Amino acid sequence: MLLPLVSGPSGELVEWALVELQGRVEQQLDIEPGTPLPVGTLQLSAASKDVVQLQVGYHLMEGKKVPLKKPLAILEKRSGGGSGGGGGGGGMEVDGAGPSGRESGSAGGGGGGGGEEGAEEQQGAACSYEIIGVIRHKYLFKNRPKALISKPTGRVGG
Amino acid sequence: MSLQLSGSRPRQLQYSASGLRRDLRLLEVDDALLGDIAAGGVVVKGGPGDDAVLCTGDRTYALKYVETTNTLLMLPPDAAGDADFGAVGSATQAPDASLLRDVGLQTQIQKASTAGANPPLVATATAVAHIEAVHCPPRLGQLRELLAACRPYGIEDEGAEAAQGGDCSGSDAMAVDGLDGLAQPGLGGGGAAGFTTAQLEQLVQASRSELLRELEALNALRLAGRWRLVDEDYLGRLLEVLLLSATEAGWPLEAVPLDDAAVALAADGYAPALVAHCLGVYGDRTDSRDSSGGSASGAFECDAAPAPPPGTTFSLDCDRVCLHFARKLLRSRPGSAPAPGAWLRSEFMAAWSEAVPEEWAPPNERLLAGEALEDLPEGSLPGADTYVLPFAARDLPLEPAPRFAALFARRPRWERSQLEPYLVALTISGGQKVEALLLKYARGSQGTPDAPLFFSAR
Repeated sequence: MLLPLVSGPSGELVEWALVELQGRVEQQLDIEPGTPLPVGTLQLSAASKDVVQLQVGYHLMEGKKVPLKKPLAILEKRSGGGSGGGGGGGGMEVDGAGPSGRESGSAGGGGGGGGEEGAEEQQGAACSYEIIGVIRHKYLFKNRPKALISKPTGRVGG
Repeated sequence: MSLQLSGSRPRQLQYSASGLRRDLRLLEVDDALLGDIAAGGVVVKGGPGDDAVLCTGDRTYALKYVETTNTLLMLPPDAAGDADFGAVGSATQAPDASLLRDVGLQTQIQKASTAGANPPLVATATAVAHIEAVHCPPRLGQLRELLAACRPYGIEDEGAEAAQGGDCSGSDAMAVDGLDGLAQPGLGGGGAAGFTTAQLEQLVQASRSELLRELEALNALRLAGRWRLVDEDYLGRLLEVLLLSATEAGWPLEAVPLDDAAVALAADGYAPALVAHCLGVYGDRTDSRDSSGGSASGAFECDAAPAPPPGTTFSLDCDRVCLHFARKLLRSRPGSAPAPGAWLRSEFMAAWSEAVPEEWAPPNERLLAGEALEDLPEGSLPGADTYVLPFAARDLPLEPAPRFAALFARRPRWERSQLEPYLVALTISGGQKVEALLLKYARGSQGTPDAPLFFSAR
């Protein structure tokens, strides 16, 4: 099976940003669907322009902007025909393309493998990966968060 | 993309209102690969059971799925927002600046409200892994299997394609039957057998140029747009008839005229396309320009059969022709003692010299490297006449471990010079050096410091 890998229609690759955090962001806030979930605030450190601060609640993480050794291309699966069975928002297949057993085992696309084999050229060509952006830098927060302890100095109230 | 951060103006990081997408893939690429993708023709290939590979026009990359436990948030460029933000003068926030410096004293609410004045940074997607593309040797084993499943062209096919001679509307056929023919490769008779280039490209995890190079190395024949192997005995007989005709007609071996040869051999039932193929396997076109790489690779581009222009001549290659006769002789003694195919060396060399065209006798012994081994008869003294025993490198497995196992099963101790011809194919397909292979799969030993190095199984 062939999945063409194509660059976007414009031909020009837009650059995305990547924020990498250690661990996971646990969502505790219940928000209404359709509204954005605030995670935290980002700013540069007052002390050094190289240090990026991410404050989540009372925790502060310090990180920095690092260039990636090799750029990351962001691929979006396009299923041209109506055949995109697993193509919904949740589908996560590399489509039997999964190098690890775990990957090819997950979700519905693997099961669709047999069908795809029969589908052959026409549909094989309909399905493709399109590069919708490229990432060249990441904001890496690799340190553990520091707790922000505010002493009751009275200034806070003001 | 830069996030347009500054020291005095925090920006809120938020998830997109529609949540985070999890269906985007991150593929690690280098700029060369990005260029190839932009140029088009890059594909991800693999059947349901295969590990996927990525193929450009001339290289194959293995795809490795690298998981991370870190959170990866992907932020698309927000041109409008960033532009607005950039346009905001740096001094406009001055009133708050004194407060903002004391980051530690701010509450989340306060800070969020400050940040709220600035455009938020919106993450729209996340990923739990990225995919690495590692340049790797093409996976050509599949090609051999496919072609092996298809009956090689042989005497049964004579005449069957006489009508198809020059008719090679391969591209049409390919579009129409797609891969339907795959269900019964080799079962359909005559021209239906075999694979189109497009089919092979779909099924074999190799780039197009690597695939075509291997087809050439396998001496595959494309007839009516479909690739198949040619029966070796059949092609050998054709070569011998051709050599006879050359002698009769007085064609020089370094300039055999294709048209005349085709006419002469048609009388014996050989199709012109096969005569051309035979000349291509055992020789080279004398007019081949460098651009065509000494083969018909230019003609591979379209799916039509290569149609050499009238007046084309081929120069037969001494080594390739002599090797054919060596193989034939080695095959010709199935029952001889001490092992099938064994010849006394002196007899073999005499028979071989006899068989090859006069101009090329005696043939060069080094051609036997990787084709046959010499063994001393048991109990004889060094210097006695040895046996020549067939042991062909091309019949051995393509993977290093089974190949070494087969080699050491045949002979427990090898000298480097004798072992090397059997490893060449591994260095090509696996991209590893002979030293690295020997280090990994064999054990070197020396009886005395000045004795030759022997290799045995690990």
